[in-house]
Amino acid sequence: MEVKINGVKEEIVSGTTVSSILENREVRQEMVAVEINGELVQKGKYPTLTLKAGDEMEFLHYMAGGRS
Amino acid sequence: MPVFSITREAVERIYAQTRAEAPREACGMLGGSGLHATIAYPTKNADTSNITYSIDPQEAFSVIKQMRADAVDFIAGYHSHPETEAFPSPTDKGKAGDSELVYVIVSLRRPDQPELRAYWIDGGEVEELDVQINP
Repeated sequence: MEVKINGVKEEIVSGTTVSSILENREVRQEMVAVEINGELVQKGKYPTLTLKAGDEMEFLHYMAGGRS
Repeated sequence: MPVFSITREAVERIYAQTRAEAPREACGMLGGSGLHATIAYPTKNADTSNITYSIDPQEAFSVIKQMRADAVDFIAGYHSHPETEAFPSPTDKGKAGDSELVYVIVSLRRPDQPELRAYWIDGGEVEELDVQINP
């Protein structure tokens, strides 16, 4: 089925979770925020939340730091 | 040393924002291609702090979508150090999660002469890039 991940169309198999998408990209899950169809996803749901056909998933690394 | 280029317009926008928000840290995102930044997208510092910054993820996602509309890639993040040097602090190193992103830091130790430097940060290791400001 087709989804969009960070704006790019991709084919994934049914049952693919947010966690597996991040793991396939070697992304540390604790370092990224995830949005699906414009809604932020709670980190605890990454391992169980599956994408549906047509979903648009975005993820990006948290931007944070400072001189402290 | 690899070269990170940025347009004068983007630099001026960053300087104006960081000066206006001092003594708080200011932050934002840079769009462009490869190592060439062309557009600065100022964001709010969700920490409202003089010593730390964070960009609210929802605002960051909105900026990413605006970048797509502007046909640029998200290539760098920036923030200011109002009173310290433009070098990644231990906090910056610890929270830098994307080894492909360029991290730009602006020091306002001398507000009339801001200093802008750029880095890759990977697993706490810092590699500086040479900054070239283009017209």
